[in-house]
Amino acid sequence: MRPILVILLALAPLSAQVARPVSATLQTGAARVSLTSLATLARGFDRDLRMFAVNDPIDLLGNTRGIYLEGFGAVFTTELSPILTPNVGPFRPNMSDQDRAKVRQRKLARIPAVERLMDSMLQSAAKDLAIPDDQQIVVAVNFVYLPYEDTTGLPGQMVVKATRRAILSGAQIEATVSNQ
Amino acid sequence: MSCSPFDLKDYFFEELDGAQRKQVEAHVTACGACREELNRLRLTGTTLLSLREEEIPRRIAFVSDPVFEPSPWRRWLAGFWNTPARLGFGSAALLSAALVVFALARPAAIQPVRLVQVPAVKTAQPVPAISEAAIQARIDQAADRAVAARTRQLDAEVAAARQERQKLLMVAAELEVDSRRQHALYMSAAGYGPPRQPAGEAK
Repeated sequence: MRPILVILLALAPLSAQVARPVSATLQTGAARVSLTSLATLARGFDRDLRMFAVNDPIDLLGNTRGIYLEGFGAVFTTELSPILTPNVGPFRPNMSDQDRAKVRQRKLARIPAVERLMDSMLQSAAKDLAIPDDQQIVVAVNFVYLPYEDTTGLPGQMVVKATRRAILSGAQIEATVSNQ
Repeated sequence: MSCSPFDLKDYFFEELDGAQRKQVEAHVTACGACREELNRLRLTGTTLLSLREEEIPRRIAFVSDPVFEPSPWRRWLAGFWNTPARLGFGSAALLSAALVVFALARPAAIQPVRLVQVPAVKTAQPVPAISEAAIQARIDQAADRAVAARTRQLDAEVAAARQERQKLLMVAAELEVDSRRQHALYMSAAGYGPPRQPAGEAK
């Protein structure tokens, strides 16, 4: 009886150990998706967006955030403006209709490039993340506009989504666009 | 007192005749005192003859003469000045000088105000009598005009306020966008690493 009591007392501190956070490392079958790998991918996406064109850059208005949803897959979201939107100021207190139309045209012309970047992000995530092939990888971009802008035809959100298997196989991936 | 048979002064001034002169000369030769007296007379005569000859003043005045007495004006002035009245006199003199200066430099005389005869205002024509209804109608019209003007003014102010509000909203949105941009830049800078090969357009 006494040795059993001693053993139980020796094992008692084990119950006081801090449990490992669930979000730090996720066990999904054979896949382990760490926050570090998600953050590394997110930073890479930010760099891709920011360095897309130096002279006419994409206006990144929020850092990319990545999260793994168990049983579903990895989701990346970010906010941006396709171009640096001109602001009103002391030297331009009002935006003329011509300026609005010009801004709108520039943004419409940039949307396909953003779509290609999102596809590239999808490919990178599919290669780097060790998730099951049947799980999804989603990249969602929210577009931010100023109140004076004419957003006719401009997307409010673009989402590209596919299974890891489809992405790696090079299948055509359609983007889902929700209007502003 | 001379013991000479004639006066030695007469001998000296050559007022004696020849015989009298010989007697005096014989006595002077024998009498020392008379001889000494005669020498003194001769010394005095020599001294007088050595002096410069000057004209005798025509008139010799003395201090006590009336010529040296001050004039009555001077005597009055001296008597006055040595009295306590001199302060009052000085003040009066200064005042008199001021009056003279003021009289010489006084400003131009003020022109007298001319009174203009204003023609009598013609009385207004008698107001024709207005009925109560006409007065009320005019009051209503004036009130309507005032209300319409005030309404237009308020509409203009509301429109201006809405325009300002739109501007402020635009500025707020731009500030929000700027804030998000800066935050994104900060976060990217915090986690900056080697660049990736972008798959987009030309860089």
